[in-house]
Amino acid sequence: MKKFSFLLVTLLSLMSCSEERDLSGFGTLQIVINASYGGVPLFLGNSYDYFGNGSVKFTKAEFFLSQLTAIGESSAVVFKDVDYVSILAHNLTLQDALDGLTLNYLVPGGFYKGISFNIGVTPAQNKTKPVDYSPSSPLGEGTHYWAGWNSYIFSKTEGVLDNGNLFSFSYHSGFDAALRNVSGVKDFYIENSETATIYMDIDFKKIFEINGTGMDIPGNPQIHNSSDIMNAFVDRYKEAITIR
Amino acid sequence: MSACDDEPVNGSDDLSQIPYIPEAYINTIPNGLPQLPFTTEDPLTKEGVQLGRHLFYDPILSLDSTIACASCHDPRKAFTDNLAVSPGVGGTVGNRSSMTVLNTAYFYKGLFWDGRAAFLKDQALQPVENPVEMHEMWPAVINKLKRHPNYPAMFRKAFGINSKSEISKELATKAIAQFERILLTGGNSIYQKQIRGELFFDADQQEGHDLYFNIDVLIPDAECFHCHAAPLMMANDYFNNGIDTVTSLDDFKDTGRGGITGVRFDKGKFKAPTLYNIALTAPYMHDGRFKTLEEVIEHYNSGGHFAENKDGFIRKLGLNRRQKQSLIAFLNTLTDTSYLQNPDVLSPF
Repeated sequence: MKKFSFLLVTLLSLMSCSEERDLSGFGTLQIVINASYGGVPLFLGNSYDYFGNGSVKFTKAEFFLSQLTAIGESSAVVFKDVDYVSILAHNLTLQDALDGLTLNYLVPGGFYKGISFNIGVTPAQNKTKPVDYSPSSPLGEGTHYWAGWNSYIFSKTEGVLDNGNLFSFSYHSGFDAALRNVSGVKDFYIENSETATIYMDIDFKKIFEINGTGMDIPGNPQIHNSSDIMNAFVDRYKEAITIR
Repeated sequence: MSACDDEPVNGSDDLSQIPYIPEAYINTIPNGLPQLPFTTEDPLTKEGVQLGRHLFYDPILSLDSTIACASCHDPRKAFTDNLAVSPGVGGTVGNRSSMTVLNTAYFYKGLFWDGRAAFLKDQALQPVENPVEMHEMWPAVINKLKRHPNYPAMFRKAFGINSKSEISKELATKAIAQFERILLTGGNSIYQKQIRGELFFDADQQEGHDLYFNIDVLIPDAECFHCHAAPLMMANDYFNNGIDTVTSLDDFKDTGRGGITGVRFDKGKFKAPTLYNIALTAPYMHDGRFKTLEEVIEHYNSGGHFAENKDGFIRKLGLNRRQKQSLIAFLNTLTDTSYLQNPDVLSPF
């Protein structure tokens, strides 16, 4: 009898929780981006060991997000068509990096099982040019576009390697073929006028890691014109991201 | 000036009898340039633009009525003064070159070389009280404007104020900002005409274009477009372009953006201005250190001086003499002085 009473109370309690959720209207989905390098918080100007071969500092870590989508049980909702993230414009100190970069989006109320998004812009968006937008919109900023490629620059990763000599590197990705989709499973409710939070971790060490060692920065300080290096780079970019 | 007819009588502060019927100003965006940001927050009116135009060209804003905004931003010099650093009241000089005002309406991440003003109306506040520029105080400027035979009526017509006492620095700079938002250029440049198919580049211009935008893998990448990006040929961002020799980030004589943000990595960074009309705006850089475009190209070709925050695209370019000349030929295609044909842009005095 005691067991039955306990089960009944638990069941009623769970039902009551579910019934109390107001899934009408819109709520806020907060995506907190935690950037790191080998698990160490990533912030501007900090030194990180480069696979035992010197140290690396990052000066720019930026990327487009597109088709940000909340995945429901039977349908999906695109809640933002395009956005631009500048991690190191936010992560100026260790504390900034620990706090994470927060993006807020309005999402229709409901129960969702995960999110998905692209790193880069969609082929349709990539057919447009900055002149088509106001400069203050993500697609309107001229420095996000490379006329030589006829493409937006999907991601920018820049910094300096110090291995006794100093090497600046600038790894930019672009072209439709460099678009990568990332998705993550994470149950969450969007309740009316409430905020739900999910976390996006990105480990920049993984982006540079090839078979346990670091990519050859002095040999390839840029990847503008090498599709092989770029494709491998954006593949690792995708793998470096985890949703939780 | 038409405002004379509506001058308040007997020095009365009351302006309410003067009609307030603002008309929208149609700001024509040059072909090939994007729409302006912030157009809904502060719509342009003919009366606001006209008031701003008068204030821009009037030395009344300075302590001894010798310096106007236009003293350092002369339309005949692409809204610069062609000096390394500009003289202010009494001949005092600062340490920065006057940047062109053309296309600053597109700046949405700060104005001035270091971005210390968020918007045009904030920018216009500062030169008045800067001792090396106009060296005046805003309360004194406001008193002069209130006593002026024409300005009170112009403020009334632009902003609907009912009394001279409502004239303020905020309204004055709002009007100047409205005027500056019509100072647009680029649409009639050879570069934009070539994009529209109205003409063809010559061989030098074409090679310079390809160097600038890294179009052709068989010739070097001059890396220009990363900081001076199309279609505005500028960036809403700040860069260390390697012009200073420093042993650490704490050694910059002019800390630039870092002096505003307090961020060490921002030290020695400056805004990348538009390159439209660059051929007309010598000398170059934030301190006017380079007298010619040839010197500028030589600097970038050298790779500049290393610092931790030097932009990654400032590196040895390997341009030969002909390629450097081609790059300059392309930069010359960015000249567009057609704004001088717009009577609303020129001095009313």
